[in-house]
Amino acid sequence: MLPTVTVDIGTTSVKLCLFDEDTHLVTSARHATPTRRSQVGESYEVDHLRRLIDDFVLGLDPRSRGQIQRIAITGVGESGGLVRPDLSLASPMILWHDHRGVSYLRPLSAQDHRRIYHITGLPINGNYGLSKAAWAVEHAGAAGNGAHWLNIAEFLAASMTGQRWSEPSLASRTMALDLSSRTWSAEVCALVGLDVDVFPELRPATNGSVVTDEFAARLGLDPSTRVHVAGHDHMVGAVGAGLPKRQLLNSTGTTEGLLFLQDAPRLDDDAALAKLANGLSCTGADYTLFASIPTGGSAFATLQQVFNTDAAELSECLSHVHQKYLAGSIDLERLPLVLPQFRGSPPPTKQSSARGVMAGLRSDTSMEEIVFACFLGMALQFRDVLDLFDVITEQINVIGPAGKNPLWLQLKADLLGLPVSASQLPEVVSRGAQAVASGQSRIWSDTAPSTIEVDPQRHALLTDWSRAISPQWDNLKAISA
Amino acid sequence: MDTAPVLVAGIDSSTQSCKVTIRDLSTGTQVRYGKAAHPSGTIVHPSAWWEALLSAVERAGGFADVAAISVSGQQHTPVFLDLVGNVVCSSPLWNDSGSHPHMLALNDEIGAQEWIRRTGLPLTLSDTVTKLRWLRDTDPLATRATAAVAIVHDWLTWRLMGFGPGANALMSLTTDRSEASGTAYWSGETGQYCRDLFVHAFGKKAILPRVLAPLERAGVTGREIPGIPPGIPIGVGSGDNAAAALALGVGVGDAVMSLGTSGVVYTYSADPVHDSSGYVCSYADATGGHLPLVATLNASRNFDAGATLLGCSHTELAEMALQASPGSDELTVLPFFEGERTPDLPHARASLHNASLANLTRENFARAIIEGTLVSQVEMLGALSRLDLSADRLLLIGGAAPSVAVQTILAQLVDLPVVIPEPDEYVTKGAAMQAASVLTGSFPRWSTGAKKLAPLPHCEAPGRQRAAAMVSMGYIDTLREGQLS
Repeated sequence: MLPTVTVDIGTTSVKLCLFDEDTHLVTSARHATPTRRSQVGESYEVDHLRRLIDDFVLGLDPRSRGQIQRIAITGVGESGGLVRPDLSLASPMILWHDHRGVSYLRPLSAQDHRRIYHITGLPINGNYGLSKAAWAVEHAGAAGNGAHWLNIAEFLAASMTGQRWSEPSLASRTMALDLSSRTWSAEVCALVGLDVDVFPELRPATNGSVVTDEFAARLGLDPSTRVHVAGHDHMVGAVGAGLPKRQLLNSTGTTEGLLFLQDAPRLDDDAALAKLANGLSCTGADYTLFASIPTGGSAFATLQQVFNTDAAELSECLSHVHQKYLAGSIDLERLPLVLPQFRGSPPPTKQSSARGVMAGLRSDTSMEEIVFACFLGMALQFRDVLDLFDVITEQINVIGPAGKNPLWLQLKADLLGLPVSASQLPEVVSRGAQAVASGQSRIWSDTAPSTIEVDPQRHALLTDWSRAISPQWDNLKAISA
Repeated sequence: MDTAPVLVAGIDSSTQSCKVTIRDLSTGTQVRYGKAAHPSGTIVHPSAWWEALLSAVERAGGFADVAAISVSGQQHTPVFLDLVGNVVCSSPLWNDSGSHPHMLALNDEIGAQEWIRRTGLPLTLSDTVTKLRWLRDTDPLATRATAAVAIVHDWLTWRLMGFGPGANALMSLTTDRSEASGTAYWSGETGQYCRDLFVHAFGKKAILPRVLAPLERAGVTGREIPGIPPGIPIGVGSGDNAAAALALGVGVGDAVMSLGTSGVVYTYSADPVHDSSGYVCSYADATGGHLPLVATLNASRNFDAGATLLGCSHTELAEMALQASPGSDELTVLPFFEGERTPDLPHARASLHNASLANLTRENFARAIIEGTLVSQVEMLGALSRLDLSADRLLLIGGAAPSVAVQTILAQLVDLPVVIPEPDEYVTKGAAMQAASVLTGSFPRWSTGAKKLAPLPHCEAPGRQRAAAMVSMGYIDTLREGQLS
């Protein structure tokens, strides 16, 4: 691999890493993602973000810095803003979960919905870039002339190289890309009154651009350093994990993603009803089938907030509950049923306004029981979303923080009756970005996975329990959507 | 030379404890007090209540200087006695949910509206008649042995009169209108037992206590009762809510919200009511009038559950609640931690709704628990007003009443003046007033030292949120008109 600085822009944090040619993590830094809220929505503080990257690179020792050959940028899909030819912004750089453009989607008919899914492989949703771009173009007016819609990762790459382009996996999250032809869809753009030319040229993640002289000089980089937009973080995670086709990747972070690599998109009515999201891989060669669960690791923050605990205390609680679970001393009958939609619902409803429910609280329900029930609810939610894919999988490959949460992993394994293979390697997404920028590939065993086996007795218990709570679970999902 | 004040004693044999107050007849001022705990659990042998009464009397310094006594107690809970006065079996308390299927059966057999028409009661699992059916179906031997059925205060009054096991004195059992009205085999219109309903539920006849008028005397204390001299007049006594209403001087236009173990909302009515919607129970009061009342199983214990869940004290729970905005940023709690009686959801548990990463804060959670509890009670006020029983002011009493958070949030949820009587044991005080009436022939007028809360802007959000959550849990099919306010 090539010595690479990776930038991973997550929902809650920005991760910066330096990997050497042996893929060793030389150093890393993590910062809260700098954003700004307004009455309209939430956008990135781009100057702050750029400073974080500059400071990280400038903080490296000169020898390491001089060896850097690649900068690979990955991050959340669906964010974006209008970027002028001089790389100034003609709109805010809008966050993925900001729905300010949703009014452009409301007039669309059911027929339009079907047509858009058939072309882009995406269910209509305000998260995707299309409606945000429509909003940005209208609000920019003449100031937006010549501007292109770039994802935050693409914008940072443009800042470093002076060039504006879009990477396939991120482009396929705009709801403006024709998946079959791999070109921007003028037809879909027209449905929201958008000129297709607002979207820039497409360039595979493996094709980078050299940094500008000014950028290289300012940060003390070799002028031949190339910048790659590595792609959508979950897709880059698939590269980092060496995901084979038709195997499930469960990438965990603030949200939780389920991803399969495929030879062809699934554009049938069942997939459309399930609101599964088709896309392109980072290289643009393969297709991805993806679903996102909005509440993943963010459940930690929710539980910490409500129980006033720090991360260490909550981890200790989880560890204790895990031990009790393994010892068979959790009374499932006493548990509240938690629908953990603290950030909206996953497919097939995909409602950002959906909210979480805890039902069955007793006067003596304990914090431990709620914590356990919350993770059990997340496992149930995961099972439901996996069912939507209608595929048979033999193993769940997990990357991200969940790999350090044995309770969460064990509940998934026991509930689904599937072994879980969890990467113990940190920063799999960033390692995927290095691989993409180096033009190389990885395999799953590179991630030092550990296997969590299914316990047949607990699987039987959870199967009975989930059958018993099924009516209430379905009711909670229906009412919270 | 000063003369010693005349002292009267009021006894409250409640769900959790027995309390005794000894007061100055002329002012109502409490001079001594005693309390003894009752066993936990919802099926209890009555001997525990008698023992607790004796302990509480002893802790109150005994009755040697007391001129009259009266007993109040938990409503509904029956005591089953055999032909010679022995207790036949342990008693299911009013809040024992084991009688839910029996309530359903009785409603099915007689018809819910027929119960309301005959007795003024929408039948609940708390009513004595459902406990009769429960015993008939679960313990045929005990049923066969039962010769008389009394309510807790009736039985304790009878014991104070010196009767008990082996006494052969079932005909000396007495009760009052309020207690009889909670049995669901008594008519507020006729003032008579509906003995056919008793037989229908129990499958046989039994001796029932004689219903005394409000100012009658039950008898005098018997011999050889520890700490209680013989010959002290005993008042008619009453159910707990009737005693509290008497002590508060509840009259036309007054509504009372009592936040104790359970929640109770009631008002005064000259006539019995019949609420076909099934919320309001038409009880009798201790003065000869009526006490239309709505009760919930869950009230101040919700705050215990909330504080336990959040790992904080009650004071911290209240402080956090006051830091959140009205409506708790849409976070909503249906506080059925123990199931619920009104509405009839015995197997329900509490639920938290509309939770998001942004709004699921400790402050919102604390407020949502208090709002959820109080909205439940405010909804009961609505049930009363639908029977044209409108209130001009709301008196807030019970263990949770002194909480500033409860007072503040309640004042935002209702659009009538909220009055806080000074903290007191209003049930024992009412019983003491009944004791006083035995001596004077009328009820004394003792001050309650009430303060009126400053009005606050009305907030409708918690009511709307509760209604939506009730629909979402399938507890009600759709939002009913008037439920949003």
